[in-house]
Amino acid sequence: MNEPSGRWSALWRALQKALAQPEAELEGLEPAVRAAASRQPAPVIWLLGKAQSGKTSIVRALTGSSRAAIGDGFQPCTRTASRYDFPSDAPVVSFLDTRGLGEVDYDPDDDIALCESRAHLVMAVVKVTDTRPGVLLDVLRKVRGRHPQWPVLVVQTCLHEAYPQGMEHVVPYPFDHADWMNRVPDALRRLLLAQRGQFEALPGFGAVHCVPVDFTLPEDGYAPVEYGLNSLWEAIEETSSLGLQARLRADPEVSDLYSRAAHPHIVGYSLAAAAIGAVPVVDLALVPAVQARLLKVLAGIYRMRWNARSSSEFLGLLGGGYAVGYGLRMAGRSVAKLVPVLGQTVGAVWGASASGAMTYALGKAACAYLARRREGQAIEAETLRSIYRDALKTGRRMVREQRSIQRLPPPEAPDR
Amino acid sequence: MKDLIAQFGWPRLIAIVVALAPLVVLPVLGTVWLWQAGGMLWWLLGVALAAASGLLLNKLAVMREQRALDRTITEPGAHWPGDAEQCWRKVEALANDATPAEWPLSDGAGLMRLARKVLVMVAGHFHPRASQPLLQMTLPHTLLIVERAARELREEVVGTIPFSHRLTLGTVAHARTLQELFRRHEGWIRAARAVLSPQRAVVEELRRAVFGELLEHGSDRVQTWLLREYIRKLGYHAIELYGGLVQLDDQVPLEAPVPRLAGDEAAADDRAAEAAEPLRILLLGRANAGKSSLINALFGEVTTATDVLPDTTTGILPFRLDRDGALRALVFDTPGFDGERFDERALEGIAREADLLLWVSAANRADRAEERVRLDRVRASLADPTRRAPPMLVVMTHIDQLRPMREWDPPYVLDPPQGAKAGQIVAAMARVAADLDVPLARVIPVCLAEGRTYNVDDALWAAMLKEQPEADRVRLLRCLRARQRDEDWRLLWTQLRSAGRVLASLPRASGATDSR
Repeated sequence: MNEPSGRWSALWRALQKALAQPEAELEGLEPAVRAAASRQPAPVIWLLGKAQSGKTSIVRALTGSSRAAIGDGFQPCTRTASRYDFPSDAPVVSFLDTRGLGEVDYDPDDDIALCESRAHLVMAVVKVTDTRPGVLLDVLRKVRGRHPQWPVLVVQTCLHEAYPQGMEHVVPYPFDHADWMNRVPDALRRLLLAQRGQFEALPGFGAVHCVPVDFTLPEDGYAPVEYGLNSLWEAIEETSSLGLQARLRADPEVSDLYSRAAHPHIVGYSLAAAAIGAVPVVDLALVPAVQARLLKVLAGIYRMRWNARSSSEFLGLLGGGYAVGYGLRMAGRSVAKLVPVLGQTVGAVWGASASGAMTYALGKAACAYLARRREGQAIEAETLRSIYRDALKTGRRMVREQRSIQRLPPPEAPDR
Repeated sequence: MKDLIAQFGWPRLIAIVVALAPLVVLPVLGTVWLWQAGGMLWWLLGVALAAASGLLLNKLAVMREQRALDRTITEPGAHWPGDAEQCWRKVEALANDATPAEWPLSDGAGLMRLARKVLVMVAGHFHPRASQPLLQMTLPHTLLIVERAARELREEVVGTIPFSHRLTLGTVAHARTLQELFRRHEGWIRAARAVLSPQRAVVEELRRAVFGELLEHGSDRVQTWLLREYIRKLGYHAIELYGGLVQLDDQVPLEAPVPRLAGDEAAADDRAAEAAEPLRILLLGRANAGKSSLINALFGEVTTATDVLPDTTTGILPFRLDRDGALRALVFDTPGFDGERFDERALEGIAREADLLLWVSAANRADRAEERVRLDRVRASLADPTRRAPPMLVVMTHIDQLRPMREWDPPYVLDPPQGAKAGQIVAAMARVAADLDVPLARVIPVCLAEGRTYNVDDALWAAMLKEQPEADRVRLLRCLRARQRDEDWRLLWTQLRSAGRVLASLPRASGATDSR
């Protein structure tokens, strides 16, 4: 194995050192990650809906978290709303749940202000049988009154409540098709259309997109359990520029549950590493520390422990691939940073996307490594390196896209 | 004595004495014979025995009378609202403090003062700000109180005290003075009796010792009862009048149908033949909660239109409900209160005329904050101390939508809950009770889905029947008020007409006014 040398060898050693350290000794990591997160906060999905309209089910379906984890994860954030950051250690998305909506004179100003400060998506959640979503419409009217261009995604839930007795879901999911009206029961069709009419009458010119879904529990006896999830993802991509699917969802072909669960964590840590890398004067030893933390988190997801043997084996297998990425980026970065002003910006972007992309690639490679080890098999060094190289490309793209989303100014300056 | 001799004349007097002499001699001879035959002791024993059993029987009779007295006590009107009941407690307190020693029944002026005291107290309760509360009452009203109290007291006395129809207050007083005379000269009389007839004196002494106390006690009780009933009766009628709970013209039975309330042509057709005003049941709830479905379930057939979309029911619609002869009612379907078709003022009006409220709330809808606000508003509009608030039941619909969703296998045992579905139903009931601030026992879970009607005929019906007495009270008071308004109008018209004003100002309308 060719030992890396030169400038990036310092980082190499830093990663090894960070991996060897017990969790508690990764000093300075938490505040740094948090500071990075606060500079570039994760986008917000503003869930607007009455109690038990299915907001938690949507969070569950989008993130794959358990209901209990979601329940515990919601933390009060504004006077009338609470927030669920996912994943909690390196958030890629925040769900904002408006508790106040049930109250009669709920004032959405605080929550609007929060959404103004960062990328967001307004998601109205309404039971299909709720024929009078008056409170919800009032709030949306207020929101669109202030921001006529904000798109609204209306998720129509609990379809089964409008089914005739004993009916099953219409499979395949019909609402993507132009002739869906002929495929669903009459009562459901009329309820959906009536509701759609009410939401489409909202003021403003931003898009209003309606998606019927039904997310049930396996014991409820409706199959599929996540009825309409793909349509919801598409609608999210169509309605917003959040790139939420890239953040939360691994490639649809990947059926491995572990790597699916790992994906948002990898994205979260990559974005954190990118944020740290973007700060010119920050101690770059923090990036390896973030990477070390990611590897340990991933091991936890695969229900394994990341020990010294894993470190040496994994880094050994990766060898040159890791070095290549690291070395090139670091070289470019240091050159760019010599040029004052412009160089600082370019260097920051370069350093940011390099740190992020590498973290992403490391995470993806670690997933492959962990998956094989879990099955008790060894992985070829070449396979791992090719995975790393591919992931480096997608990671670079992902980081660039996500950071461009995050750097977008609020859609419109607050008119206050 | 001289008068007697002058009236009868000596010869006739002697004739009477001679004729009666054998009868006078007979007890003496009998005593002598008893003495000689040695039966004196037995006779005395017999006397004692007879006296004892007589005493016992009398005691039983007195006890029965007293029980009857205790039972015959004026109770507050069942249909009275809160402030009338409050006033009644004051009247009760006054009655319980009154004693015949303080207000002797023989003292007519005293009793008038007492009556005034009761009336002022009641009037002051209902008109606390008036400096002269008594003046708040019209003359015919005052006369009506006195007349009614007197009539009822008379009926009660006749019914409870034996021979009382021959008794007047005067005789009661007279008996009292005789008693006092006797008491004053008691010593002399007893001494003389002992000299004249020793045996009789013994028996008399026994009778006096045992009976005297008892009889006196009894009559005292009767007097106390009479006094307190007097106060209660006055209080009762004063409350009815000052509280506006009575009409002057009581020829019409209270429960007769109320013409002014009949604005509903659909139900009014054959109401004319009915003897009593029907119970009014009002259904309230948000859109698509299942109000119309509940009507269909209550009637056991499709009576009104239902749909998945709101505003199927566009106005307040009455339906006639006749069932097993147990409940005759008008059931009012209303539009959902969260729609534009809902007229809040119309609702408050109709809620005030309702005798029983059924609040329909869906089990699968957790957003009850708005519902609660509405309900509190209805409650506030009904919380008027001068009227009775109608009882309310919460009908929890859509229980088939609770988890496990695909299961529908009634009947469900709820107490204690058996099975997952029953557990969910009970939990939903608790949530509804907490969200709407009603007792859990008033939340009735039902299913109204087509072909799955459940718990309407048994649980809901039983709960409604349980509320019926209370609803009936509300209905009585409502009828009374309606009739009073009617009466006010009629009186006003009569007075105006007799004053000639109507005829003068509307010469051509005389035909119309005559027809009233």
